Amino acid sequence: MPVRSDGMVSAHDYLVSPPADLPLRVNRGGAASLIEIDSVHRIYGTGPGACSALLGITAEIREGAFVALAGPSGSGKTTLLNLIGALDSPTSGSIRVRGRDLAGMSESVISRFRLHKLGFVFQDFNLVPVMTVAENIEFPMLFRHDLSPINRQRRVSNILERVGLEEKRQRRPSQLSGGERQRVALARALAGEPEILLADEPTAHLDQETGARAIALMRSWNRDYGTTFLYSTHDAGLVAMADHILNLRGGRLQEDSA
Amino acid sequence: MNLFFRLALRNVFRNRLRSLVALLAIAAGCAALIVNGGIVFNIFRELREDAILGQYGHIQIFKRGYSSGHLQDPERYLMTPAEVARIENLARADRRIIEATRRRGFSGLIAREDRYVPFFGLAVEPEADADLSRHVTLRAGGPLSGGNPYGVLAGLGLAKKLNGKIGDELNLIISTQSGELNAVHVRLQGIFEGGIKEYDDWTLKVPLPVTEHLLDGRTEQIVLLLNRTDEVPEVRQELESAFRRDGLELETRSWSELAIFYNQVVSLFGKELGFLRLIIGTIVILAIGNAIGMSIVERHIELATFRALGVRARSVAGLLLAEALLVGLMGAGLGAAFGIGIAYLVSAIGIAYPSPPGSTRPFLGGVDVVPRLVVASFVVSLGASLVSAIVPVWRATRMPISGTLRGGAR
Repeated sequence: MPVRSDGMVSAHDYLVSPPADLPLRVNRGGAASLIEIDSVHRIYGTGPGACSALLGITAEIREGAFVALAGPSGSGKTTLLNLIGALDSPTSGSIRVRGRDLAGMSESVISRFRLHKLGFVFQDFNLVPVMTVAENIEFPMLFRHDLSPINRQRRVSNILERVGLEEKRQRRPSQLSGGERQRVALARALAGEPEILLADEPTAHLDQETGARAIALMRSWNRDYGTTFLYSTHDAGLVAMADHILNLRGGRLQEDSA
Repeated sequence: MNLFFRLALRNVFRNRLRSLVALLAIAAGCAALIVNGGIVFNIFRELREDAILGQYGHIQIFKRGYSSGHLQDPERYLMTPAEVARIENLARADRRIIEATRRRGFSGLIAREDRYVPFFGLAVEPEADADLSRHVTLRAGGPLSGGNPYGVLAGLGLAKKLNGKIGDELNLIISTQSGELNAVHVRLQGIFEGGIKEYDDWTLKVPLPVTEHLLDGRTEQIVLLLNRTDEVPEVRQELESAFRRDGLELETRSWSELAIFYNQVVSLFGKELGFLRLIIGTIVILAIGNAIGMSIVERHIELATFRALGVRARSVAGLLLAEALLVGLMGAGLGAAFGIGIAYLVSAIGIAYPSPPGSTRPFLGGVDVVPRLVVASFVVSLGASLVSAIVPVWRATRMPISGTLRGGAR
């Protein structure tokens, strides 16, 4: 399989013949490497009942990329996102963020990494029902010593303005529509100004139009701030909105579409 | 209020019924400790007052060596009138001492008609002794009087043994130091009940002139009554310093050293109170532990989300412990209010007790509100609610994040 001068494999070639040992690079105009996934396996359980969720994933994601993680249910999308987010550890292989292996980090360093560098959007949004919209967004920032209360409030206001929920800042999640909850979850993830935002099926509970708007919101943030986005979806329309696609099937990486 | 504590407070009321049950469990435990402890302290206080105002006063002063040697050689440990005068002068100079009175113990036989009954005699100054006999009930006749130096009071049990009635003439026969017999003719002026059976069965109270007639004018002990019981250690220490300074060879004993029955009861009930605290603490721990455990199970996705967002395990633990602390504070506060309210209510009505072991009379008790007991009950209840949270919180912080989130996404 031909390798280009910049070390990348073309999507067409990758589709025809997926490389066994060559890293798949998700690039954004020559940006620096941000996430390196190297021969990652994730097997749940042991013995005959063991379940292999990921089978030797190798990929590289560069700064500022807008990546869709595509594939049917059970293909390993959530598992891969959890591994990149250091919510889980690979059975073998390694994941490095800015060259640092996540497996070598202590619990406190990993927490700090998640708090400062990562943002998460969950399929079910996972908002705290007893907190208002503004409190849900502010809560993770409470644990950041680099942010004063005024800074936190400013960030909350800015992000609410950006996602168009400023007037609903005092509402509880139960008083919002699905699309609004999704935007609150996105706002919570972005308020900390992370380098990487991981979104696991963020549009699963939304209609196609609302889902597309959510992805568009993410896209505009990606363009404006250069935040790296990885979102999983099995909606072909939403996949098409990405710059790059990592297609998973049965725990293996299938293709890369630019 | 900080968002962290705001969230903790809201979580407490997330499941109102469960929180109410948890609060009531803590409140009931705290109130039970306060009320039970208050009853015990009320009994202690009654017994203490009985001991002080019925027998021992607050401080007793003896010749040095009396405690260890008077049974072998009682004559050796008697105070002369000159020594007594110096002690009384010291006592009069101290405003905390409201009474200082002489006493002398002796023993002998009471002869009435053809009966001879052994007795323990207590010679007192009639007027001064009245203050030290406030917890002694006069069952028949009148009190001792300086104007009637040969009128005596018999304990209820002793009077029964004598089959004595008010106005009966009695002969007191004693053996002097030289071994001779001496006797004095007295009249039964009253029958008293001190509340301690042993005391009532053997004691004959006589005015000091009786012993001056039978024995001599020396004094065995000087009994001091203070304004306040809690001043005993301080006054005692100062008196002992004064005795040393003045060259008086004396020793002192406090009521608590002399009141053996009181000490036994305090020891017994003190252990019971400690055991009860343990039981109530355990019940509270189990009740709250279950409530907190349930709350954590219900919120496991939320807690895993916090972890995924970068909140450290110890911060999540802090949040859960803050919730337990709030439940504990509210429950213990409610319990303290309930406990104090119940104590006042019950005290207003009164608790009719039968005669306790060793006592001869029933009494009407109440529930004392003891500040340090209220504080201790509050702390125990609060501590129990915090301790109960430890295991569920520890388990919550050990939950695998991805597995928990995956489970919640079903």
